[in-house]
Amino acid sequence: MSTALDANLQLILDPDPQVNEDLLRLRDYLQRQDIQGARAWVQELAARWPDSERVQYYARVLAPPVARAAPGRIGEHRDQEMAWLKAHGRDYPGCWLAIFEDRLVAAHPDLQVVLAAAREALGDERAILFYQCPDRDTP
Amino acid sequence: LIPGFSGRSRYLVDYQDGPYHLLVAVRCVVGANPEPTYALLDTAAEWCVLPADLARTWVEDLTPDPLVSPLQTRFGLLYGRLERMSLSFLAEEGRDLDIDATFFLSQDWIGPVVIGWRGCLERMNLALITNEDAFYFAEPQ
Repeated sequence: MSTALDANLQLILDPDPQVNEDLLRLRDYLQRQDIQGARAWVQELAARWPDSERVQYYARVLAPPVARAAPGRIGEHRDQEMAWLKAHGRDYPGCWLAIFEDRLVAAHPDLQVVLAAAREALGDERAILFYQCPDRDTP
Repeated sequence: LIPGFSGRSRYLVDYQDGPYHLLVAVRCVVGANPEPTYALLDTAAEWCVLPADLARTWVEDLTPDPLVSPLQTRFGLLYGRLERMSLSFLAEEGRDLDIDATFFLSQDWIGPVVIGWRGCLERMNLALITNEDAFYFAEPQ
């Protein structure tokens, strides 16, 4: 797997070899799990290579997360859905489930099928969406 | 609400999700999808992770990025790529918390939604109050 990835490296990186050199150093930070070092380095690269899509992409995905309390939303309780899931969820291995109040709205392995069914059944109301993993012990 | 926190919700506890045991699963909305889901809250997970078919709702190409180190999972190494996406923790009391978060996306991940440390939990305040199964959250001060 890693050989195939290395073979793809040049296809994925920037066409400019100087940018690639800098990105390979970024890979070194990531391989060492030095996220702070990677963040500092990619910020330097973002300023150095403002027109590189690859560099700007890494600057975006490696930036620290930003959390903000949302203004003005009203909380909602979903205890019924949680109770249904605890009681019945395991009966649907490998399926996406759409649960609303105390009932199952849709269950299917295809996420899009479940989303379509839930929206048709509920309109603007929102079901709880849950993926019940298959029971097998391998991915 | 506990002082210092802006929102609270109840978490799903001790749920068997196929071969995965969700010790603590919190309600959230991922990306532009309006339907909330339950996600494994895992402070030991390196990144947030999405099931592949949910990830494909926003990112068509899940080709692994060779710059990104594979994730170590109990089922072996997982190759993938990083993407920036929105995530909201939904409050039953108080206010939701919106996060501009980074997810690890892999075409090989068929496990649950995972909320991990990097790109998400590392820059928010959180508390678990176990006698009420409550998840408290807030933006950092």
